[in-house]
Amino acid sequence: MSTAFDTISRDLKAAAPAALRVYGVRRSGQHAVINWILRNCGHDNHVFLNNCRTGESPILSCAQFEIEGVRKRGAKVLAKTLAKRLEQGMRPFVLISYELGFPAQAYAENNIATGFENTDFDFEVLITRSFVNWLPSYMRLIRDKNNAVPEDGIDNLRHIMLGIQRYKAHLADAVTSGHIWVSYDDWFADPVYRLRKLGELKLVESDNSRGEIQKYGRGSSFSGTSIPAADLDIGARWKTLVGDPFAINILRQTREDRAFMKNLIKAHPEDAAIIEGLVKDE
Amino acid sequence: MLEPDFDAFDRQLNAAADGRMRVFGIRRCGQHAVINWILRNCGRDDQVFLNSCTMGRSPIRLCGQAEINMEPAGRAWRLKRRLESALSGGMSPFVLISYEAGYPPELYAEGSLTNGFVNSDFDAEVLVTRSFVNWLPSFIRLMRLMNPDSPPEALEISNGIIFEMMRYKAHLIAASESGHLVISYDQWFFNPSYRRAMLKSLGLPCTDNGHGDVQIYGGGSSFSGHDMPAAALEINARWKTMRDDPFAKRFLHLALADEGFMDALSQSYPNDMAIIDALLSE
Repeated sequence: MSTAFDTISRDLKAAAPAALRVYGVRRSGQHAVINWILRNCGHDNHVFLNNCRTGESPILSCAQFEIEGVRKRGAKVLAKTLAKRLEQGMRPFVLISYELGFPAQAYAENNIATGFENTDFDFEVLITRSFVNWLPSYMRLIRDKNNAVPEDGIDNLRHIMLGIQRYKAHLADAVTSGHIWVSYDDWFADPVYRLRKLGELKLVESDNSRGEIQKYGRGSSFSGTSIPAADLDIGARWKTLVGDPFAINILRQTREDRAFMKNLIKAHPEDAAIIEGLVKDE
Repeated sequence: MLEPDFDAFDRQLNAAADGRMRVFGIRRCGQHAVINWILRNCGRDDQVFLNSCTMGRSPIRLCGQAEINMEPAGRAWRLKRRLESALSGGMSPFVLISYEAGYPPELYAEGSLTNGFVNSDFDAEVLVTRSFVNWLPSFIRLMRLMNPDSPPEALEISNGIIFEMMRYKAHLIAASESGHLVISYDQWFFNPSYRRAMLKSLGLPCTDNGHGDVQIYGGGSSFSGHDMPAAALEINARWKTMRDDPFAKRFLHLALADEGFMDALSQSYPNDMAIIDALLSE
């Protein structure tokens, strides 16, 4: 089976006029950014392999995929569709995404995706989001997912802290790795920032809007897919932390990590004052 | 998982044994002081102690260390050779097997905790617990000693502590629900008649009811290593070190948010609740 997938990987690489990989942690606006890249990719066709597993074949391990705008799941369906369409001469723009942060070690070992080399990709794109707005969104995700355990119990705490540690590692790589780095907050707020990032990605603007709320991860943690993207209050999620002592104690403990705070202030400078405001009165 | 090189010998040790017990705890709960006292009072000339074993696997191959008659005896192949020679000389030892990741109710119910042994082979299952307010500072110190390259307040330190708090909670709840003998290290330490009563519950004679020496495992005490005699350890005053330590107190705040945990703690260690209140209101 894996041989068949290797053949398809090879054919896909050979056919693709351009390819890139996108990395984020969950709740960092990754799918909004990905959708915008695809709308501006400059090719008639694209193949998007979502939420792949590091160290495995992205064709085999992706959670969902999109070919020519149609979203499906299942490795066999993907293999069959790809084989057929590539034979018919499709030359798709390829985008592969990872949701557990940038895997620095696997990248150094050139071992992120079997069937592909680092050099097969034009760009690696790392997406980050301001911590004070990411944390409430991520906490909501964890609390909703584990609704059988108490909201503020140790089990949820453990998951949230692991997510924060992943956020920390990903942020450090975004700030220091030299790959393309997109701040979701800036991307969301500023069309000029988006234009500049399209330039870095060597893409030509064809639709610089924020697009529609994506279905991956069920849209927004706060409003699902029920309100238009432009109305999302993504910069104000931190206000939900006010009066949540559980969250404030998590914030206080995280703030003790100096290396993390240094990178955070570099990447999302507005976070510093918001955090200080939230943690005072201990 | 069957380990062909060790399976037969695990069974052979079981067949040769005169008395068998298992001890469960989590790190920093005084487990090794209790184990050493059991061995001193086991009423047999010979003892085999298999420390920190991997659940579900061969205890001879995957113990952390072993002792034969209180002397270090290695692990895996070296231990096997030593045991083979001892058993072929006719030794019929008291066998004590210990686990350090808390009591696992599901694995116990499956009966597959210790390769070569079944549940009914054991004369007793002993679960060691310790008061939370004294365990926590001890564990914080251990995490820092184990991660000398991390700043003392780094996220990875916090995460290690929260992971073990989760284990502490699970172990405490499992202990009270298990129906096995639960030994409170705090009571064991300060009360000789408690120790005598526990020996009686274990069906063992009382030959040496002292504290014994500070044990080598885990580096001895988190606070004084091996510098102080066991009787001088202030194991019930560790909580005082948290008085001026906001980092440590935040773990108390976070633990306090977990109602299920606090219910279990107030059952097992009622004094902890008042100490936590006092620490957090200072």
